[in-house]
Amino acid sequence: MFGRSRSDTSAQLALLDAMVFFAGALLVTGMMFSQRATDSEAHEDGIAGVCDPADLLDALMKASVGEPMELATQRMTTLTGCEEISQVLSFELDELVSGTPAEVFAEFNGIIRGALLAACTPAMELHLVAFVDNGSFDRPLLAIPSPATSVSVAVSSSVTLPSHWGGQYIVVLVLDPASPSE
Amino acid sequence: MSWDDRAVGGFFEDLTVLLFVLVGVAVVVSAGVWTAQDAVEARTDKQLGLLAHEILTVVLSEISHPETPGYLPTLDRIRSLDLLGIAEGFNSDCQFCISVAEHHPERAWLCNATRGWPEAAADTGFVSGFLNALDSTGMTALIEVMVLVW
Repeated sequence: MFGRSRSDTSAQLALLDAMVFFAGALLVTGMMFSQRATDSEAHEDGIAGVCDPADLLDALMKASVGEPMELATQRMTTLTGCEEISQVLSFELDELVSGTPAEVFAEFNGIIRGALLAACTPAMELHLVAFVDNGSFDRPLLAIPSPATSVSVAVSSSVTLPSHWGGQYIVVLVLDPASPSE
Repeated sequence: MSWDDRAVGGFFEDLTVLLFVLVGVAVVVSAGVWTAQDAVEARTDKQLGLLAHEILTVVLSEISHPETPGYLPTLDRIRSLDLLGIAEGFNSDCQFCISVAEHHPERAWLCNATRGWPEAAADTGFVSGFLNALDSTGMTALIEVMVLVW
C-alpha cells in the first residue's frame, strides 16, 4: 500500500512536470507569434510607405489646375487652368481667412481630390488638411474631403504655403491605410 | 512486485504525461516551422522591395534629370522612353513591370515595359514615385512611375 502511494505521488509529479512543459511550450509559441506579428507590422508600415506622401504632395503642388474656372470671390477671379495648384490653394486659404465661404472653391477642391484619388491606391483614405501656422492646430482651415479622424497607422507629409498677410499656412497630406475609401 | 514500487502510477497516468509532452513538442515545432517560413518570405519581400526601389530610382533619374534643376520632361519624351533598356542595366535575373501613368489633369497610360510573366509570381515588390511633366498644352501634369518586381 505504501509503495502504491509513493508511485501515485511520482505519477502526479510527472503529470505536473508535463503540464509545466506544455505551458512553457505555449509560452514559447506565443512569444514566437508575437515577434512575427511585430515584424509583420513593421513590414506593413513599409508597404504603406510605397506611396510616399511627400513625393505625392510635392508633385501635386507643382501641377497645374488643369481646367479654366471662375471663382465667385469678392472680386471675380478667373483661372486659366495653367496656374500651379499651390498658388491657387494659397489664394483659397487667404480667402477663407478673410471670410469667403468654402463653397466658392468647391470645384477647385474637387480637382485636388480627383487628382489625389487617381494617384492613391483605393486601399488608402486620403485627407488634405490646411492650417494657419499660428501654433494652434485644433481647427483646420480647410479639409479635403474631411479632417483625418484616425491617424494611428497613417503616413503624412506637409508643405508650407505663403499667405498674403505675411504668415504662412501648413498643408498636410494624410494617407490612412486603416480606413480605405470607397 | 518490487518493480511496481518504482512505477510512475499506471498506464493512464503515463498516457496523459505522454500526451502533454507530445502536444507541447508538436506546438513548438509547428510554430517554429511557420515562423521560419514567414521570416524567409518577409526577407524575400524586403529584397524585392529594395530591388524595385533601385529600378524606380534609375527610371526617375532618367526621366527627370535631377542634375538639371528646374528641368521638366514632356509627356512625349516619357512616351518614347525605352524603359526595358533602362532596366536591362541591372545585373539581376528578376522579372519586372514598369508603368508610367498620368493622373492629372488627364488620366492616361503613358508607357509600359514588362520582362517575364507575372502569373507564377509568389513574392512581389512594389514601389511608386511621382513627378511632374509638361503636356502638349503647356500644363504641368502629375505623373506616377510604378515598378512591380517578382
